[in-house]
Amino acid sequence: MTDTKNILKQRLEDKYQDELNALIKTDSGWKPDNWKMSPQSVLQFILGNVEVNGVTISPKYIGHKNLVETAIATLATQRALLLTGMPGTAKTWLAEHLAVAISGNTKHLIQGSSATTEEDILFGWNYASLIAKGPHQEALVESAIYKSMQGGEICRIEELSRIPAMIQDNLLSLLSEKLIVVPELDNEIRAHKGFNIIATSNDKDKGTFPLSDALKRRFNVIQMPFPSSLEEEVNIVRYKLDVETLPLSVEIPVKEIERVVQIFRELRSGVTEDSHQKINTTQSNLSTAEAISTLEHCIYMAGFFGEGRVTANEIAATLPGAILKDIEKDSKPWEEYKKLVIAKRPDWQDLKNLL
Amino acid sequence: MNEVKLLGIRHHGPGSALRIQRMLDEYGPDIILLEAPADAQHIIASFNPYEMTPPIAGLIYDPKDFQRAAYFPLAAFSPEWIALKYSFDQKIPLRCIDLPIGAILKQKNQRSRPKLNPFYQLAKISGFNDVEQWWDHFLETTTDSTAIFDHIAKLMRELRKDATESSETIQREAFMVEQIQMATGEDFKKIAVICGAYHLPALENHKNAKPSKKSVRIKMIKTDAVWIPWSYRRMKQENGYGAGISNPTWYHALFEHKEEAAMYWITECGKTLRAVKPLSTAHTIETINLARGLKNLRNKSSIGIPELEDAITTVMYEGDPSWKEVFGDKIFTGHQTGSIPNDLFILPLQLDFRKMLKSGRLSKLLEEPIPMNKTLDLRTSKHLLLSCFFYQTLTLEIPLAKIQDQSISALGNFKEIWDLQWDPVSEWILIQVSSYGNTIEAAARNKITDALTETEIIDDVIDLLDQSFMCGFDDLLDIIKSKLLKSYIHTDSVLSLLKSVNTLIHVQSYGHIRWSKPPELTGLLDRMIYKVSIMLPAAIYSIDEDEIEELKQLINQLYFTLQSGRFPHLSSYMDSAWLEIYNHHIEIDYFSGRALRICMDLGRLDRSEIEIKISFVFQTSDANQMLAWLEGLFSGGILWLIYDDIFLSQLSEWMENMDTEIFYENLPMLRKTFGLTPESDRSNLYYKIKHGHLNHDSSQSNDIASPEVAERVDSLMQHHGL
Repeated sequence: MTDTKNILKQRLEDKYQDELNALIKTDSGWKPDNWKMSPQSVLQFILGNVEVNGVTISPKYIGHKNLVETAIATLATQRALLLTGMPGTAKTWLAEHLAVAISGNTKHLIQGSSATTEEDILFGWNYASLIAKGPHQEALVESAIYKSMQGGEICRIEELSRIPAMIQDNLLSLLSEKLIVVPELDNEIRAHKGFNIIATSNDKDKGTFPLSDALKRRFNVIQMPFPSSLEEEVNIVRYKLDVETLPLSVEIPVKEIERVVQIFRELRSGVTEDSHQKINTTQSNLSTAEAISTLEHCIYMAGFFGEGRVTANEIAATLPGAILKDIEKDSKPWEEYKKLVIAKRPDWQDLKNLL
Repeated sequence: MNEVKLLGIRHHGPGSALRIQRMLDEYGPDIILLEAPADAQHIIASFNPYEMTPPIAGLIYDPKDFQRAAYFPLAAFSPEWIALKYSFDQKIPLRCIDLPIGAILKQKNQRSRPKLNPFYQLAKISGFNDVEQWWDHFLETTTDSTAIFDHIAKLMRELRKDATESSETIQREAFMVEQIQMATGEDFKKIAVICGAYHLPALENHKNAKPSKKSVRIKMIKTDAVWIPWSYRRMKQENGYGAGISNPTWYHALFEHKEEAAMYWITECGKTLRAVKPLSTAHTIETINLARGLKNLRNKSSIGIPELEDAITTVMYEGDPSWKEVFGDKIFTGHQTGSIPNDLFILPLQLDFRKMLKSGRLSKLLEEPIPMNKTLDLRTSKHLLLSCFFYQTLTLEIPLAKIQDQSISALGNFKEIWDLQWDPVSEWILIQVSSYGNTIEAAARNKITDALTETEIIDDVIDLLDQSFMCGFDDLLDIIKSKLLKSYIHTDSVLSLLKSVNTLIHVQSYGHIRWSKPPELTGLLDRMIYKVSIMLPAAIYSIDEDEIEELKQLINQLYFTLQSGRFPHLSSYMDSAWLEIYNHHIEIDYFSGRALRICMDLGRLDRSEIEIKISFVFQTSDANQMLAWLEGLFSGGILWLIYDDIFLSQLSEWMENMDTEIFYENLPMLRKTFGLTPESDRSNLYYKIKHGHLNHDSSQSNDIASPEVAERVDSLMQHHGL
């Protein structure tokens, strides 16, 4: 395989090889067919903060434990799982990590969009071969679902609601019957045990095709929440910053992290942290992921162009970019926020002066 | 030689109930000693599990003060219910061995709240949010009943090793130990003691503690006890015996269906949620599957509330947990209420209450504590009876019915809308008021009669008249009349008198709606208004600032009624009062203004007299007095202004010469006064001011203001920064 050092985003199965091996080795609970480890071990992998066979398992998802338990139990009982929520709430993240723990790989993926076709869901044809030799197995181009059914592995579908409704309907019988029929070959592919689907969707976005009731019924749905408290969100952000950023030895005071997270939370929820004041919200989606990338941006700026320490300068430079996604609609709330909230906080004056 | 078996239970724990059932069957005792207040003993005899439906409660109360009471609740899944049922079926005695409530009440006012449930704490430490699940997980390991009870005892001993107990607990446990010792001294072979597990370590002492020579006399007050129906909602609240339980419906399911509880409970839940979501049986099946999967993942031995909640959110409600808030009450608490046979309602009033509800087709209220409403048409005799019944319960302060406001405002309206709800706990209020009489009607009548004999204050009498009127007690009218005749003479408050008069007129006018015989109050009214008319001129001088508004309103109300022309000579009394005020009331205020107005209307004054008076007022008064005077003058309309040029010009002059400050200050009052008059009058006046003559062409509408007025308005607006 290609040199892993040059890869931008490593495959999870490579990144967490040690952890996964350790969990498999010490695994003792009941395992559903074709799962690499028991549901309890999957839970440990996701929640982390535990040592198994000398290997520290890092936390992958920081949030409500019962949410993760419900996701795993769903997949263990052979129900399809749908993760919904606002962008930046770790839907894709959680789906990936579940797939790598359960099936040992993350290769089966369908990226949903309005251009997704039936071939992406079921199967396609190599037309040259088809015309030359007529319908035969080698001419079949298997979809991700087809392959995962054959292998008894997890298949992920991202942005399910971006897929046009007609194409979504292909999933209806697939999920009930767990089989794909190829009429041209007079053949049917039945899913092997261990096959399941994890889908993510963002129903609130524009340009989506909301799932029909019939399709929804075939999934267990988990709503991924925003972190419920400032503290929780700060913890998540801090953790991700530790893990993700280049080793630039840049100092980032907790105070700055808290500040950015608080600004995002307040603009997101429409009310100040102490619940005393109502604020107009921005159209831009200020999720935890957004906060993480904004602060990463600050770290790099401080490292390359600053003094090795994240200060109000870096924050003031990056904030507007994150908040003003739609100039027309976001300017007003942002200006109001600066005037009514930032200006009124005595220890935020440094930021106010720079903005 | 007798054998004593101590069986520790969790109050209202379905697991405990099932275990007790098995244990009692195995052991076969010939007497049960139950942790229940000893003064509940005499209602044990009337317990019959085949005629009563749980949830019910034993109510033990101080007959001298019903507020001091304690409840002993029983649900179908309570071990206590099982114990009682066993003793009923096997015909063996059951003794209540806990300290009597009478003793606790003697020492202080309320029974103290039960301690923090030790089981709850243990469960939390073990990572269980659901106590029943924890109990089942740790204690349901063997099928051997004896072993389990031993484990429980051991657990409690450890728990209480270093804990300090409250004096009440120590007292109660000492009493219970004594009761056990007494029983061992008698002829029983197998004694079963059923108590909260927490007390086990103390009760084990019965073998060791020295039996006292004579039983210690405990000071207590006399109490009565009675069975009353109870509800799951009440059981949820923490009071009475044992801590509150959070999920009565779940416990019920656990008791009835045991291993299949989840299936039944989730199905019920699905039924409720079907109101807002399209849920099929397939959903229910998937929910149960997920609950089981979660149970396995979490390494629990049985499904508990956390698994149920997560599963329902994920499968039935698309990941949205808001169903807990919206439907939580119905799903977790449930609307179940118990019932007891009618003959156990020893008090006739309780029976009568039920009879009245039944004839009004409202028995449903007794079954479920859900609010409902009922619209009554007072022209129908049945509805009239029901309305009187509702008012009677209001008089007796029985919380059954509330009238919706809008039907009150329509005086003389035949329509009434009532909001109804019955909380089974209110049963004890029925018990309480039965001291007044044997039926609701009799009790209400007696209560009112008692109050009448006791009071001399006219305000109270009028209030009682109002109540009698609404309750349909026309026979009380004579008593009330004579009372009023006596008391009005003594009253020196013109306000009270006016209030009374207004009520009397109301009753007189609308009596035929509620009473079979329309009341004859004119004689009384005559006297009272006469007195008012005598008192009013003097009262105006001595009245307080804050009472002026009230007086004005009462006078207005009176005039509104008198205007109808039904009481001509009553009006004449008031007229002479105003004449008196006009002649002798020197102050320039609301009343003199009003007096002038009324006399003008009556035509008692001639033109020149009026003009002199008005000029006098304009010249000698300051702005505040003037405005008050104008308010009185204008009450009842300004139409006459249009025809009175001289007054109009004087008024105009006065306003123009007024200080801006004062004008601005008093603008609201002026506006209010003029605002009260009909619009057509105002626009006519307006036209007159502008054009100097009346508007004969009625098609003309609002013109622009006269220059002076416009200027004035402009300057005011600028001043205000508008």
